[in-house]
Amino acid sequence: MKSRLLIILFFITHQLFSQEFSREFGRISQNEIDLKSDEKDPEAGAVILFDMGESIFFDTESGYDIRFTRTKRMKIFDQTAIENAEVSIPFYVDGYGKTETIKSIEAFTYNIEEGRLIKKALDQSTIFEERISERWREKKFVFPDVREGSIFEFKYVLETPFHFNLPDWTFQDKIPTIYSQYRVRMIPFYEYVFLVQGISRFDYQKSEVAKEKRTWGSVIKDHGRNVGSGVEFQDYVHTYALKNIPAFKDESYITSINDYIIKMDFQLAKFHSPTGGSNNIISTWPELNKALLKHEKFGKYLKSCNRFVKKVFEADINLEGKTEKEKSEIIVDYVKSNFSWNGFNSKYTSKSAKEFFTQKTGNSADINLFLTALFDYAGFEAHPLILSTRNHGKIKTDYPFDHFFNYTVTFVNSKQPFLADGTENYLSYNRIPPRCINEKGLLVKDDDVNWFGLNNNVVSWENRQININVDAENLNSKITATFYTTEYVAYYYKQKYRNDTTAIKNFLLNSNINKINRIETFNYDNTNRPYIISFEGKAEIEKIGSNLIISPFLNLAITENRLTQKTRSYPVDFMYSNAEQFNITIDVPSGYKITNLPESYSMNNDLAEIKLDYQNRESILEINARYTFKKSIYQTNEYARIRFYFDTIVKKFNEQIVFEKDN
Amino acid sequence: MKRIKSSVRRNIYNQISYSLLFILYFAFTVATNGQVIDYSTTVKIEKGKKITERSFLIQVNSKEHNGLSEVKMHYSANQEFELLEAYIVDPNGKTVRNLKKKEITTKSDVSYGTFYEDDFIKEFALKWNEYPYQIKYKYRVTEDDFVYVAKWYPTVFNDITTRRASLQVELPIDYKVSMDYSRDLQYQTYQQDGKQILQWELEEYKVSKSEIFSPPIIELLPNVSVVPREFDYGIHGNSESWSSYGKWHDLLNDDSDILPTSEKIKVNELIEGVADKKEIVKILYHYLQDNTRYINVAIDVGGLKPYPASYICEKKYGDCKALTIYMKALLKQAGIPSFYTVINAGSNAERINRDLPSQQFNHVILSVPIDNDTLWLENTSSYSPFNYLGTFTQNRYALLVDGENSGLISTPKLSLNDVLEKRTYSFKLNEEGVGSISINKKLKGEAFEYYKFYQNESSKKDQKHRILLDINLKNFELEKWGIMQLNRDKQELNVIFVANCFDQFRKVSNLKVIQPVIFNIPPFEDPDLRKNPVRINFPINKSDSIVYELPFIDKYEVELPNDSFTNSVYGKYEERYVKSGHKIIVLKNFQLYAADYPIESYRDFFLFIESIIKIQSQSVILLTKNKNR
Repeated sequence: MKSRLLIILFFITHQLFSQEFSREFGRISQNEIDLKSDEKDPEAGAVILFDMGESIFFDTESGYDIRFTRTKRMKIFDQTAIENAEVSIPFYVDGYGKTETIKSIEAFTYNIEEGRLIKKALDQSTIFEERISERWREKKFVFPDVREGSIFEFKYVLETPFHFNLPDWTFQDKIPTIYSQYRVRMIPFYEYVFLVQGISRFDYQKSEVAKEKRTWGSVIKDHGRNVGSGVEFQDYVHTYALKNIPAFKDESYITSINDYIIKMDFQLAKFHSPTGGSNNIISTWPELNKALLKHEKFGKYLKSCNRFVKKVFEADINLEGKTEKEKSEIIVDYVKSNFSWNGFNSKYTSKSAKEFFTQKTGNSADINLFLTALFDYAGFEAHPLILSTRNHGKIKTDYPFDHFFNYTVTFVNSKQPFLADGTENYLSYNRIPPRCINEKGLLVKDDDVNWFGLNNNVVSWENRQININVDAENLNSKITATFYTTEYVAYYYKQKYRNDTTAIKNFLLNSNINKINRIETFNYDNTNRPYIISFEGKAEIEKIGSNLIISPFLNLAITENRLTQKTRSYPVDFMYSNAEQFNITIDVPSGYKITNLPESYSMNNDLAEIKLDYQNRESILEINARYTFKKSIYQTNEYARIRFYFDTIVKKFNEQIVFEKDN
Repeated sequence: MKRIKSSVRRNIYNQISYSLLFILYFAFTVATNGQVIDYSTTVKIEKGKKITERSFLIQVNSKEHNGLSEVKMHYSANQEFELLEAYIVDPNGKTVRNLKKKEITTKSDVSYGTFYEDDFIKEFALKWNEYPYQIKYKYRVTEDDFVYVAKWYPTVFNDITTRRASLQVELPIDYKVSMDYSRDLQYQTYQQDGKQILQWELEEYKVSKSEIFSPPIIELLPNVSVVPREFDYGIHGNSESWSSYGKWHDLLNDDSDILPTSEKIKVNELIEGVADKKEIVKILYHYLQDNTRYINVAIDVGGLKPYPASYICEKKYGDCKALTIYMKALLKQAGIPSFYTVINAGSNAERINRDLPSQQFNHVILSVPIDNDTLWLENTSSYSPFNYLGTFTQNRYALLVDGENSGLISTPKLSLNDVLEKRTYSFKLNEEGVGSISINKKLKGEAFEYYKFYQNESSKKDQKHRILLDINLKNFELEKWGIMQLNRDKQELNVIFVANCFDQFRKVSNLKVIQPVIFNIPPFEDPDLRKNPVRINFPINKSDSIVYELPFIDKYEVELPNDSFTNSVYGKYEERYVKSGHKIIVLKNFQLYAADYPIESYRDFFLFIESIIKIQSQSVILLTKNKNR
């Protein structure tokens, strides 16, 4: 009778939650079969019905490894989303015993055929292993027989020895997710802290002690009491779940989706030895700094640079009689001209100091820690500074998480403290690459926690001097122009065109200029002076009726507002503050007069400045125009204004001048 | 997008052509400056094995060009790879550093659009800090199975001069080959130590840049192809003629077109009661399209040997070979013979060398002769209309595989009518330029393929974005849009667009100016700069009719441009203007014919294009307020 009641209860519960879908691997409910689109996002081509992860610590010969099991089920509504049937599972292989393994993969596709649910298993021989890089591999497979209406699910088990990186969990995806859950079964020896992003609370969260007892070491029971040297313990089970998570939508001018996607990260905080006593792994910023300074691929590398740094000063660098600024320039230049960046961002070095010195190439840490050592040797106070590059996401200063950082630069505490980076040739000695400009970085120094703002308020300029000489008879005009660019704008030009005048020509020909006769550049190798592009060319003049029409800005200013959305949920991040200036002179053709001259305009506030001044001096028309975006980052509440300023610039910097024959 | 689509399918065919052409892939990935002092290749055939050694001496002139010392070497799982030497020579001619083995990394080399292939890249960097320095490296690749003795180009990087490039082929005395090579290479052959030696050499060569409407660069490069007369790849083959080469393909495909019984029953059910053969082919083609999709997995001999039809029955996905074999099997069950047809696909694909029977293809389609007609089936697309080849495979030679009867055939050309893009614009505007626009684009040819791709492979949001990008208008708010195809086999679709608009008149002094939508003409190179000949693979045919309904028009004097008509051997362009009551009607037509023109004709061709640009730029309608009213 009792058991019967239970069954009835179960049945009722089931009825009550009939809108719910099965979350059991291998069991498909009618609701899922009937599902035709996502209720909240009917245009979505596919949906994740559930995505569930579980991490447990399991016994190994030498202690514990983590077993991560993931089960995920999806449904395809529309063939545009069919690529979701292609799965790849990355894992890390280091060849020194610290290797992750994929223990098993099971996958099934379910289709309705003639009213019956047909289940098809993945053929194990069609699981491929791709080498992404020397250390990263990927298991890849395609679900068989996937079409519109297919439901498919997979389950895989990954085992990892990396206790520091308890597998993280991302709740959100590019398609909507109906249910996402992460369960972690902790053991008492490791203590983690976690950080949640993108939500204020979970739809479901529970922490409980597991019923099963586990043991560590030798447990000998005497009348229920343990008299052995080992310990008895129970897992502590934490479950976190979210329902109906919308698809992640990308927006332009954001740093990284890492900053906005809903996810939780774990970091090892403490190790409690089963034999008593505990170690803080990383619980404070000073401790993180200390750990880095002791780390083989950080502090130890820095120390071992000394041998080579000494050689450099003996043979290649002479700082005698130089000012502090000159010394700094010489040191940074030395690194830039002797070592090549291999394109990898890293906080940790990839090789020994010796290898770096002989191979003359390395990642950002190899280079910049060496740079730090050079400054140090030259008598500067220099320290490494770690940061997170823009595509890597933002740092949360409340949480001393090591994995926030992925890049190392050099902080030099001279009279005017500055940050130096040896990876990019086109920047001045005291500028870091734009990819590094991401809020703040941490100074790595014993016992001291200093954050250093990475945004610098220097405005990057683009100044365009243009002379337009109108040939009314042939309906064209001769253009003589010189562009001066500074700072990050100059960097952008150098990086993009590599001083290749043909490439710059092609870029210019996309504007109103249709022929270029002469082109020259200056200061490509000099980062202290503006990069200059100077050219002579021709532009066509439009004739409508008896009117000659000239576009004085030659379509070189912004022609389109990229901030198209009416509102914005993320800040607008331009990386650096920038300004554009035009000094244009137009020689009015003789016998013609201006019949339409745009009005001068001026606005200026804390966010931006826009100014256009038209001066008609008989035979010469002068236009002095500029705009400045004063900040590098604008908050969402400033968005509407910034969007309006863009509109104004697009309008005002593309106005035309009309001439007519003076009778 | 066409480019996206073709690159997705470009590597469909195999890994072989990929690994053979690796030098070029390499060449087009690095974009820096410097020089290749020597690039020499030797190929030896010994005991049935092919041993290829490539040796490079590269000079790096400045840090700017340091990328030249980042080396990538491609090979595949069935090849044995060995790096023989790699070192740096400093400006004084001293060898200053030898590469250490642990500096070499290996990763998979899976090309874009391919799900998995067992090809790999070995990488290393040899950098020095004094310029100019040189790097020297040499490696050896050994393989048992091959379809080429050599397929060689004298280039390492696309924008870097190769000072000297050479190829030496050493063959046993009785080893028979077919070959072809460019006349600008120095060639000699002789016998030595009981071997035949073939040598080619070229000095001072630099790849010319890709230009608008030019043949694919690879076709313009000097090259050498040496094909073994007898070869073993999967099975034994002979390349004496296209017939014998096709026969090898047939044998490789042997027994792969067998369907499981359940699938046979399915076919019988599908075609029951249908007598018309063409209708049967269509039914089965739709069945293929609706139940399978294209995924490329290239492993082992997978490069050339298709997975059997049963593989598709099970997985419902496969590459072009497997899907084509499956389609062939479906037709076979219906009693309709069809032929596996290998082709070099792409909207601007390298033309095959008809005089050299060999592996020159990257894709497979199926040809189905019905009565006196041939149906062509592209089996990798779930949305391509029935019997539609399109820009991807039209108008070229392909190898029809039919045992002894194998041979080259040509695929049908896209005609002017097959590519017609007809656009109708209707504007209803008040005096302030405010009103509505409705546009109906009836698209065929490339534009049809393009939108069909978006309709099927991208989200609604991206489709809308695409439509907005293609609308050559300003100042409007989109109201409605759609992509419509009358039925799945119609080789035409409609793009519908309805918007509210404002500011549609440009104001110049006291004039209202209307500038009718123009045809976008690509920015052709100035004749003084153009290097390559012109190739137009398929014609362009655009026809616009633009109607402005202006109820206020009587208050204005209207000045229409003159009608224009220009005609040449290259194509024609026409503009006509009519005022009729409250309407101004603009009719435009542009045709460019498919053809090849030598560089000598370029100036003349360019003048034709320029004359169109000029007419378009002067085409403005002027409205002047009528002072009498």
